[in-house]
Amino acid sequence: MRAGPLSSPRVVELLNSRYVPVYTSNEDYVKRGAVPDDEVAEWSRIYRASLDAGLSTGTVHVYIVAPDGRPLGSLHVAEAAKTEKLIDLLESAASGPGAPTGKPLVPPRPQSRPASAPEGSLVLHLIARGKKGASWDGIPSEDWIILDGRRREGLIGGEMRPGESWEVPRETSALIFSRFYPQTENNNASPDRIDEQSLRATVLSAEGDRARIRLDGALRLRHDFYPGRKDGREVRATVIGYMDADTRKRTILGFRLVTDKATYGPGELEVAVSSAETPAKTSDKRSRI
Amino acid sequence: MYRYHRSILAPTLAAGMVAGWAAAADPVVERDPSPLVDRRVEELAPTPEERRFDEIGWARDIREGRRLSRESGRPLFLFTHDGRMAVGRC
Repeated sequence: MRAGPLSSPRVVELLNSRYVPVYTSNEDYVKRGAVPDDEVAEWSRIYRASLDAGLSTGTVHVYIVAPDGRPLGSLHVAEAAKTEKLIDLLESAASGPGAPTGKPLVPPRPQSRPASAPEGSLVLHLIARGKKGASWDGIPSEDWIILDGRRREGLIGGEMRPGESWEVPRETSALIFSRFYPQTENNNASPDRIDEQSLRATVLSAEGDRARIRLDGALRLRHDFYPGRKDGREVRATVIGYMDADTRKRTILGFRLVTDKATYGPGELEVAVSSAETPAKTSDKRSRI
Repeated sequence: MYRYHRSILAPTLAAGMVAGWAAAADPVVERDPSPLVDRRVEELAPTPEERRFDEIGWARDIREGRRLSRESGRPLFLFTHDGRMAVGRC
């Protein structure tokens, strides 16, 4: 839906000018306590009212609801994913001379945002793109990975002298590597799926209170395309990146890591991880190993 | 001036890791990979077309949507789905 009709300029215009758009993740509504009870009750009421009205219903579905709560229309995702079908529904359900139109009632804003992080955390933004049959959609997958203060400190080893090298703690690199997969229906990101991993840090240069640290690593990760359906697919990747550190405060200022070569099953995979803060610029005159 | 090989990984990756992969890596040309890494990060970032979804003024949840619908007289559009559409994990 997101790569199709929800990226259509006409659909965007209709939703913004004639509707109050909402999307919900089913996981939040079936897991007790994830969202307030009255939110779940309204979600269930819309489903049941649509069913009673003889409209199509389902868990992955579009529902149109009148201001008084009556269901006006619905579409199964297989139909709603056809842009013209969705436009037809949107135009017919909010048309007529009295239909209110105007600007979006909620200001548009980025929908992919990190969760709030404890002070001192390092927030990492991951982008994963499947290529050549590795994924089923044109939209990249994203994750926000939060390394708390302890894990952030743990990225640094030794005295930060050029040439020093250490292995990034396995628990920390597993948090990052466990998200190295393209868009699939299975979103199990458990670190238990990792069969092999390595992420080695090497100090390249140090000048004043700044150091640049190179990252090299590799990964082998089991990841089935569909949840609960074992298909033997795995991610194999080699990675390269760098970190900038404040050697006096012994903290990481910036972190970037990308796949060098990566495959997922029969296709290819590209992943980039970047700290939310801009990596510090280091002098061209910094020392070299 | 940095020069890149097709693979720039150090050949010193943990022995035995991902058999046949690390071993195939070319020798390191430059030790500081930041120009290449920065370029790849920029290249893989979502494009404006892929962010069009963000141009929609989504209400926070159904309750807020229903309240705005009652106040404005506009219908509610509700899309229920599995996974996390906002981050492309669905």
